[in-house]
Amino acid sequence: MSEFSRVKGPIAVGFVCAMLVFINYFVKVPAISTSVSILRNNTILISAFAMILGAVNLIQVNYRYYTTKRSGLWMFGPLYIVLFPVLAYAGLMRLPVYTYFYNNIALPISVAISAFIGFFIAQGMYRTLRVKNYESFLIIASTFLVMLRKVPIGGVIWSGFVPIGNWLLMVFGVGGVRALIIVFGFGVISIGIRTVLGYERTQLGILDEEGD
Amino acid sequence: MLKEGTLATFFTLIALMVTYIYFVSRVRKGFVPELRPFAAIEALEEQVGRAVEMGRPVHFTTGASAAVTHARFSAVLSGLKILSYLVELCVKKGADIIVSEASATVFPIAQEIVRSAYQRLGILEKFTTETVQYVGGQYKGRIVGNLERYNVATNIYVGSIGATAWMIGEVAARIGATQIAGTPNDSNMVVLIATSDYTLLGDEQYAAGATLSGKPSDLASVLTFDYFKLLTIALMLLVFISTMFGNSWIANILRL
Repeated sequence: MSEFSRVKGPIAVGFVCAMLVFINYFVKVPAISTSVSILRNNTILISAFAMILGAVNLIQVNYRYYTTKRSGLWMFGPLYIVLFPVLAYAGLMRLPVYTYFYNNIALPISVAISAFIGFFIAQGMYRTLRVKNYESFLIIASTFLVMLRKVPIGGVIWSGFVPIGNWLLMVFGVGGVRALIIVFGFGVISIGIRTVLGYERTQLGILDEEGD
Repeated sequence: MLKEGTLATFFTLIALMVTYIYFVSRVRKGFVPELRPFAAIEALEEQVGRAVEMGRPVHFTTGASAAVTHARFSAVLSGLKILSYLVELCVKKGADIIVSEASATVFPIAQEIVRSAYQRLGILEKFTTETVQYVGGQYKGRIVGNLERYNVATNIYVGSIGATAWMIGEVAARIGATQIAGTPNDSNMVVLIATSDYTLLGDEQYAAGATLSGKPSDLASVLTFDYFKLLTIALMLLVFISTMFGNSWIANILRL
């Protein structure tokens, strides 16, 4: 692949697209607004094409699990390879079997996995919330105070838990979060400016040493 | 000409770009800024060495899927910068690496980064379809599955991270894997602090990429944004004090 099609071309396209989005943010020009909405729709199209690459990789990985008898769940490899085209066809043809599989298998599994997070939180809290030093004591003490503010029994035990919890959340919590939002914003802008000016090449899959 | 309420943003953006270009040229001329080392980045080499000694692979993920148009995508990009360093480290030290990617758009980029590193170091035959895996929308189950299936020694989790960090962090702890994690997402940082051995918090994740690559463009961005952070703090104090004394002209200028 030539240098232009691999590096310079994508950077030039990125620059033009970014400039259109910038101009659209600051100036009201109907033609640019239309171009930007077309660009935004195209990102959905590109994502859809990228999904095909992902699907091919999933089939390859599952086939490899089966052929190498990868320890664990290798027996699900062939099941995936058989079910994938069947469900893809059913989904494209809008057959009821697709909805049936989704509502009765995929959705309950997804909900169950998400529900596990509650147990992982409890496990994680037990593992990590230990008083090791003065700082960890402060964190644990404030955690309990905020927790007592939230649970109904906290207010019953002592009415002071609610204002103390609120104070911790609104003064320290909000202050810290706002500071983080500002620095996150700076991080996003830094990546944006580097990308627009062509200095950032990670999005092209190019290793750092090759840039600059 | 400009839309209402965008004047201050416009001039800030221009000032940022000009300052950035100035620092790029300054760094290229030989100015070397002193950067604070990050414990999480310094631990990468040690953790890869640990993985080699244990004969177990290193796992990397950028976490939840992020649309290209979303601000979270920048976190994924900075995660990929760390991946490009990590994969070279793994290849040089002889550790296997497994990358789980939830975003379909980022998946080919991650694949290209890893494949190029393998090719450059002459071990392309070791790059298989399992090296970089697309884990799709239900990424949490697949990532946890990969941690267990490959019995990883270290899990590196830098990018767009959601509440599933609890699940991934706890499974990593259960299988005896160390975890290095980073996110700029304020609501999930606390999870990473609780579950990880090393963390990159807030904009540390963006600066970490710069310390790794050492490229003038990366170093210049750290310099530019450090100065702008100081400027922001100064402006906040100025607005606070002037508003306290009943003068709101600075606040009004910023709203223009």
